[in-house]
Amino acid sequence: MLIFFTRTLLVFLIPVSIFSQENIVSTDSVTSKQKYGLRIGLDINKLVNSSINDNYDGFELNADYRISDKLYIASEIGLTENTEVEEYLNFTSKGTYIKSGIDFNMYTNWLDMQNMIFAGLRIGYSDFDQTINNYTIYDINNQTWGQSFINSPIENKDLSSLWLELIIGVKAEIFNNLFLGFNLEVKRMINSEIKDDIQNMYVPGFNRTFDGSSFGVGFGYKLSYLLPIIKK
Amino acid sequence: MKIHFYIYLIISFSLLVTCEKDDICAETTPTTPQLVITFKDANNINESKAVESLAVYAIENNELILIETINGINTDSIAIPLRNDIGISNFKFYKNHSQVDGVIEGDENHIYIDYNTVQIFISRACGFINNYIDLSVLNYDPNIFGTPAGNWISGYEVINPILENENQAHVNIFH
Repeated sequence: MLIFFTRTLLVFLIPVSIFSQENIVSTDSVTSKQKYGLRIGLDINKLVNSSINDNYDGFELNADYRISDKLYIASEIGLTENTEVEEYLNFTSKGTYIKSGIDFNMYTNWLDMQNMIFAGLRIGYSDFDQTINNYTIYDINNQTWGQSFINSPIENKDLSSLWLELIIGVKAEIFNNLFLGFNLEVKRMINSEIKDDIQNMYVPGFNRTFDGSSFGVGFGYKLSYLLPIIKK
Repeated sequence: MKIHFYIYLIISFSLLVTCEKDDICAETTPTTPQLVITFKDANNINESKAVESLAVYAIENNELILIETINGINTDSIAIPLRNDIGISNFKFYKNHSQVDGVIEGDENHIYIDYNTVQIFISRACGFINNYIDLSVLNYDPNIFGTPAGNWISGYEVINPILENENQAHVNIFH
């Protein structure tokens, strides 16, 4: 867990150090005092869901950083363990994911506020395992021998998926530097590696997949804190 | 201005919570295939020959379970389900079958079927089906000592040892 947090911090800090220099140059022309900085947060919905739902454990950190008046670079990193019970099978997906991209703010702020109504684009990548814990053979002619329940798991390790994500959302400052946000996500799978011809039914970060479709959906409910680094 | 944000947040959130989709396995989905048997004339193996009043029982733990669809019918072809939990299924085939007060009468013949199961993933809603490979048949019970021989079933032939569908016969039985 500690390693995960350290890595997370590194991932978030690297882009900041790259962009912060350009930033000083590009904001010279701004006359009113504006806060720039790293906004770091976590997904509350995933935390709540983890505590009330026995079949779900998830944690997501997110960060964004303003690089121009309207444009933010943004990233989410998370881990998920999700079990789903279907009529004929029960499976668990477990893994980590990272999403990186940009947010474009469509809301005009007063002075130094950083409220947002935004549209964003992400590229997402997940590394995960999918295990079919148990299953019942689907057989409509089972009146004679009965249903056959099989309790030996089928484990598929080191699967990966790559997808694109469109986001719309809002972020509002509820206290000084503390933001509450909500966003909807529409995803499109680019590549999902499968094993044993078994569909990847749930991908961490992408959420559930649908038969015969490469689209997915999701939402986030995020609390974040702005660490003011630069004031101009 | 902030109130706008909150209202938007709450409305969007409540909209999302209300929509969840359930998956149901469609009836058109391919299912686990049954073993298709055709009955042929032992004296002329290319000719179909119907069995008079045929009934087939599955044997599980020394108990006979009647296959409901094959209950004293005149037919030259049947489809019977195989066991999914192990790779052996045992059956009793009755010719001239009748059942009076729970007593089974007629000419019996044991059928022993040996195979391997292969699980095939279908979908999230349907899970897995079984296909069967390496199918072989005996017209007697190999667990009973004595001279192996069929009773009214004199011979058999495996035409297709791989069961993926029920489109054609897998086994011919001669009588």
